Amino acid sequence: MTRPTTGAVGVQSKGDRLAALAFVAPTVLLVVGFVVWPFASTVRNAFSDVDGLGNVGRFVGFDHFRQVLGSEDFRSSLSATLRFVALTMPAGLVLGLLLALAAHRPLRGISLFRVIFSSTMATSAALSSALFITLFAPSTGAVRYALQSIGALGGDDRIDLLNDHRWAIVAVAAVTVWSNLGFGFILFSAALQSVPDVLYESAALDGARGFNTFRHITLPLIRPIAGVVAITSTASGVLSFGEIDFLTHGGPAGDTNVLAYSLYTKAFRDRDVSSAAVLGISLIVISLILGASQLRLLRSRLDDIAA
Amino acid sequence: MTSPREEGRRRRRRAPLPGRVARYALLITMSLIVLLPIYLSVVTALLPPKYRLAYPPPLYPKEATLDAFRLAIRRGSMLRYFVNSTVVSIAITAGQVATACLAAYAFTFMNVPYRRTLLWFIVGSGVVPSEAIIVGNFRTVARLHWIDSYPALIVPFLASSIGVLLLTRAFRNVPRDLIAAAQVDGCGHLRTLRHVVVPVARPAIGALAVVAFIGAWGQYLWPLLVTNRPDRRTLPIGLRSLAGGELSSFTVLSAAAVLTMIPLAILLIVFQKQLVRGLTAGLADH
Repeated sequence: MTRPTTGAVGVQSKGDRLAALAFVAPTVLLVVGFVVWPFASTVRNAFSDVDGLGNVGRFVGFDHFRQVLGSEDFRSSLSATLRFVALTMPAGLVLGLLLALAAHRPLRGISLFRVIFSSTMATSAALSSALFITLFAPSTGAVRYALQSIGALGGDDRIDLLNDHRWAIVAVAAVTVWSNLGFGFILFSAALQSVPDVLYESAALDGARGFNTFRHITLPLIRPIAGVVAITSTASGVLSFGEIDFLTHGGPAGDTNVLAYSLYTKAFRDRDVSSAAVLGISLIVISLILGASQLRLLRSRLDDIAA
Repeated sequence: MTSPREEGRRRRRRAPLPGRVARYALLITMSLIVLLPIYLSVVTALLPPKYRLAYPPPLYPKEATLDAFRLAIRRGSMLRYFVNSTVVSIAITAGQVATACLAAYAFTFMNVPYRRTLLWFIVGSGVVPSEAIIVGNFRTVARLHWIDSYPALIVPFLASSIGVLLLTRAFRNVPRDLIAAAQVDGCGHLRTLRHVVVPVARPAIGALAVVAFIGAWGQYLWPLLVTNRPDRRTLPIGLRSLAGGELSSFTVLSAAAVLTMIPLAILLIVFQKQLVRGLTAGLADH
């Protein structure tokens, strides 16, 4: 007989069930108050007319959805969001893995490099933006200097990346990638450590070298974690707000006006609560899809605790 | 010919010299790339005002002064933001640990009615991005007259679905005999939690605490919405106002950024192990 790993220990009474409820109550009440309730009001706002003061008027069905999802604004926000994810996610994945591979095998002083590689965990959206905004300064920034040194920019030319139609989103993406390097590094390091040494040794015996070992041994074994990193960084890319607010305010001309930023300006500048609610629901749908794929990757582990 | 065993041992002992040099070169190059933005900010922060608009940008501090740091603290009220960020982050961390411990204990060692449903409800709520429902939460907090107060910055974040998940997993490894023994000794659930479960599950709780703290420390959109008064701002919003405000100077902004980073960097070096454990919880511990 296997012993249960969850459920009550010892003799139970009715009072114990009440006590159990009291223990989960704080979490449940907070979730109801700060997730379920605002979620319900978002749904209601999306399907009703709401005035600038937040008074809810009549039910209008999918009118707001048609209006918002069919608008030019939404299409450009969606495309900015997708471009942003396309710029941040693959780069983050590759760089995180590279750092982890470089720091993987033991070497004197390696722990110092590990601390350095995870150091961007100490930055936040605002902090990394504050660090980079100096580098991006049009006439005194290090980026201008670097571009001039390699001859990509003329001696008297200024370069205002954050106001440039082509480069603004790339610049913001670069800041985001840098800021998340530590996260990718830590996850991939853990993934690499989970590959047993024995596998490498027997691969070496079979004559596998360098890239072959990586492709046939390392890569398949770290794939689940790579999937998780990809999904997490896609999700954070879709929801990115801080760097964009700090560096470009959605500009120039809406080039970096991603969905989360558009929701913010709709709700708090234009007081268009219904449009903001529609954007909110589209963000929830995207997150649900991403969350579901993450659950599939981690399925066995969740069933484990729910059982 | 060497046996496979010896071969493996020798490989592990020491890589050939050229290989090691190449690896160091690679590691150092990568470190420079990672650290460059931080280093250049430190240099900028140390510049005296007359170099403020110097071009090319100085790559090392030719002359160093702490004026920018002084200005950031005195006129930029960095200390005020620092206190706010610290209070808010510690409160959120303590709250998440407390609520998650209670819920995870109940899910693991007590008969919770509708256990599965509640657990999935809590875990599922973590999928809803806070940005998507921010208008509703803003309204709630405004109606409670919490704008410009600590509760607005703290209360909405006191529960953590990931925390409940993490600790429920961790608590399952606490030997059930220990719990039974504590109960035979007359310990109530709260005492069993505090004196038996928490000490055994300390690594997981530490991991949750570090991840919760980092998350709280970096919050951006929510504090931006619920604080209007300058003396209620947290560090990220303080940096934002420094970048856009009348003090707008790259030296002061860089100094403020460096000041913001130091405490968290120290914290992360001290709690490196907990950080790694917290981020990889449920992923890498096969």
